[in-house]
Amino acid sequence: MTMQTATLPAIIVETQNLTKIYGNGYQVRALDGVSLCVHAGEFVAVVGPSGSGKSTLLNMIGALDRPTSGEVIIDGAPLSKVRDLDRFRSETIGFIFQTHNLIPTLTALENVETPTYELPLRGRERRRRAEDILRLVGLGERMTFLPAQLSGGERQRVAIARALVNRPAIVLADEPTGMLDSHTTQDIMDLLTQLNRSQGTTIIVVTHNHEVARATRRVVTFRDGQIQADVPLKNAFDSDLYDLKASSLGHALLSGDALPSDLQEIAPQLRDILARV
Amino acid sequence: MILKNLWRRKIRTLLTMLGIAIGVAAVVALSAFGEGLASGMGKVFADTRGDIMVTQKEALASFLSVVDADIGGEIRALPGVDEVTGTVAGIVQMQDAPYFIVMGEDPKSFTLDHYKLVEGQPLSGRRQLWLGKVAARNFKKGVGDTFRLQDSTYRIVGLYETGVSLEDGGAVMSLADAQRAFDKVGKVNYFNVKVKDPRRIDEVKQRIETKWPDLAASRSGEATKTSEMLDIYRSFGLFLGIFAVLVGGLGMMNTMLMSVMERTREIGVLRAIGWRRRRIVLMILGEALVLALVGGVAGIALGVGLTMLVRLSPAVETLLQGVFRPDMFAQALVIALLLGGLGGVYPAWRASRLAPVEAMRQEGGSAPSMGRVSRFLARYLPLGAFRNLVRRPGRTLVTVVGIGIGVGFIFALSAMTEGMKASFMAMAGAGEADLMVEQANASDLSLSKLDERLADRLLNQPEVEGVSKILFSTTNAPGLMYFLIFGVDPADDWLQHYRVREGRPVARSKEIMLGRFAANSLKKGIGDEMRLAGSSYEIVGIYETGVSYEDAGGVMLLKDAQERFGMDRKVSLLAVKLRDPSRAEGVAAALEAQYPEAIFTRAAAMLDRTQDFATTTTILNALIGLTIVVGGIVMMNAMLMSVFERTQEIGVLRAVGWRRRRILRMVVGESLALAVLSALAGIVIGVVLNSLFVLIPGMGAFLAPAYTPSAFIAVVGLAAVLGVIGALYPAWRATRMQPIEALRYE
Repeated sequence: MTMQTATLPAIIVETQNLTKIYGNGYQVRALDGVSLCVHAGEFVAVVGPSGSGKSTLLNMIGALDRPTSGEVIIDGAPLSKVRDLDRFRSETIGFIFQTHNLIPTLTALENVETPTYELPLRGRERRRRAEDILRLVGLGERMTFLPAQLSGGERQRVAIARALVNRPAIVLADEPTGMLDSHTTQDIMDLLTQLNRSQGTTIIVVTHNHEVARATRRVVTFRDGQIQADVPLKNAFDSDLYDLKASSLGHALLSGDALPSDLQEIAPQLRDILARV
Repeated sequence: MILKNLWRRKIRTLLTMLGIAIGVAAVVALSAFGEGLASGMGKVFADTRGDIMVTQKEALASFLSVVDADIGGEIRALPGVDEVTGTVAGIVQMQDAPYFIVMGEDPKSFTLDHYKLVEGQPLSGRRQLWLGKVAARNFKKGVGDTFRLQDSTYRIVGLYETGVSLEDGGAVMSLADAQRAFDKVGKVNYFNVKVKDPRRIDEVKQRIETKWPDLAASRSGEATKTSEMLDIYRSFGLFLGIFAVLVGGLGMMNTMLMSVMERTREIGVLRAIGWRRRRIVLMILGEALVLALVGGVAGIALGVGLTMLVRLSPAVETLLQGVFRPDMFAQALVIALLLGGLGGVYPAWRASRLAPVEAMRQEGGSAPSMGRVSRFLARYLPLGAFRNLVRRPGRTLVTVVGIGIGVGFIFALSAMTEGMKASFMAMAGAGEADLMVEQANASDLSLSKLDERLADRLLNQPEVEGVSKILFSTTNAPGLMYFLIFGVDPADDWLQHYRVREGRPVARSKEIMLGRFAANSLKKGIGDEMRLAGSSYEIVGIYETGVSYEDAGGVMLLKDAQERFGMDRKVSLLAVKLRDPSRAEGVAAALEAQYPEAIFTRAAAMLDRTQDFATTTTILNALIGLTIVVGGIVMMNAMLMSVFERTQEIGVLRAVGWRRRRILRMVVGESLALAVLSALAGIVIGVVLNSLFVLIPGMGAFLAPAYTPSAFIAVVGLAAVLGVIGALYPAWRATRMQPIEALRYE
């Protein structure tokens, strides 16, 4: 832990005493004085029962809603001071909703292009970016399909592509796999993990699926609008081991199947470590 | 459940109700005007307290009939007749009262009982008059005041009320005064006859008609019921009624369609949890009926309000009475319930027929699977706005129809007005004469009277090159709503205005030439006889001018016409040719100062100064105003619904970082595209409406719609402006919300 602290990058998301109260007469405290720090490059899961305030937190961080009191600070800038929230949403945040929220009249490609409209890009550049990202999420063949013509998993992948197209520093995902089967869930989480690894994108995912939480490196548990627990998954190394164990390679190691030649040498040690996880 | 459903979707319920209310308001307001026109005109001569009304045969209306006053005595001498009284009915143009009706009655006559004296005393001498209550209010006059009429001053001795707005907006004076004032010494417009034994009315009627073949006797009340003039107003009323039902009915049906189509998904869910189709359709029907009922009641209130609003103008007040009858309200409600129910049930039925899964997949009421055409259009249309519209064909269609109806209505009415103006202009001889001369203060061109010697006096003016005398009157002929007769001097150049296609121009007395349309309608040809009021004329030619009024009429010699219409040595119009047409304006002003009894107008500007046309224009403008209000609200409502539905989508765009401005721009762009599309649809609807209307027998000849480029532009512009306004509000509202609120918006 100490070693890690020394190398931790800057805090990218911070909430200070964040409170959100809904309703006028009968009031609901959806968030009750939540203070949380997320460092750049972290992959955080927010879990908790329904109505515990996790989605509300995400909406506040993504500037989709305003807190009743408290502050959200993104990359050092308090959101209440940010004058151009649209620009912020467009450039810094990628939001993935539980229901895909695609625009029904736009094709997959056009949906993915929508966030790029506020960027100083040319039409062709815009299109190319959207196409690249769609290929990345494995929908290269489905670009001209309307949402109604896609399966649930495909729609969610379009939604993810839309969240990523502006290369945001932070991706906020609200139950991104809530409507999907476990196989598709795995695909989506792989996609997010890969993004986190390769681009260093900070990802905060709200979920009550423990499989999904396990894919991350830190689990924040909410109850009644407050943080009940904030548990790093031991350390990054452990988390990687989890990943390795869950991967096809880990599977091959544990079952003793054929391994790539360059791994043959360290295979026994790896097998031992994995067995202890 | 039904009420809860409606209550919980307040905005949509409100918008739907608004749509229905506006439809109902249109039905109520327009039918009230239609009814007011028909009954107001009809009642004027309906309740005369007599048994039989005697008029000149084939007179278009009783106030256009002319009968010798002496005949009254002879009628009285007939067996079975108790009393006879002659009436002069004059129409004068006054400030703010284009149709000021003056009735000249014998002060001792039973016909005066019709006027309920509310203040003052009976007519007892010369230069006295009774003023109607509405007129008294409009002119701010009371008993004892003086009143100027036709260059004479009268003393107001009483105020009366009859309940008929045209009468209450007019005046009554002694028969002798009226005969002098209206140049009818020794003449009356009609007689009212009282018989000794009411069972023998028909017998007496028969006797009168046998004795005087050129007179028409009819039971009082019947006379106006069968009056051709009234038919015109009734047709106009009917036209308004049909329009009202089309606009209002289609508008409200459309609103309901939009509102239920949006719920296709919900219907899928209900089907999925096991609701039967019938239950769903019944639920939606229940909701639709509640909406229609509440909207209908609100609409009636709105309609009454609109009518009151339009009537605030005194000029319109007496003419467009706005008569409300209980069955009119019932009719509006029935239409609302019927069409509202239908509009609600159809999409519900359609949605319930879909497999639940398909229904649940539908977004915002448009089919996800695009037709081949839409897909093709979607691919090749460059504009984002059009692309969006094409991909929601269902909603686009419904919105286009909604707006189109509004636009169509406006367009149809304005084309009619333009058509009337164009015909009238052509008839007034624009281009052939430089100045037109008519009587000052004449309410109607057919009531204008000028001494024909004015023509000779004008010829002596140095600027004047030529003067044509024209007599213009209306009568009726079987199968034609109007039969216009033009009396022209055979030696006059003006005769060439009527281009002869067959035969030859009139040259001798008792000859007539017919317009092409009249000849066809009457099935007459050259050499045939034409009977008009006891005289017969030989048809010598068929002419065609292309002006519907003229082609539905006939031309005879000026002398014959003067005799026929009791206008000895009088003409209706003088057409003046000047040596220097460019100086027309100045010459007109100079001549007018010299001859105050006449007005001199440049032929091209005649429309504006001709009172009957100005009146028609006022009425039409009032109706167009009403239409713009109704059509405009229908348009805005359609757009409002269409954009409200997309609040969620706007939330998504906000969440991905779109600026408000960009969203507004997108919505406005789409609305503009939609509005322009709708305006085009509306123009088509308008043209179809007009061609249907022209099909009404006898009507086609008089109302040839004219489509001017400016009308197209105006209508498209109006649709664009109103459409954008209708779209801006919900879009603005959606962008003001926190994105998450908009996203949650159902």
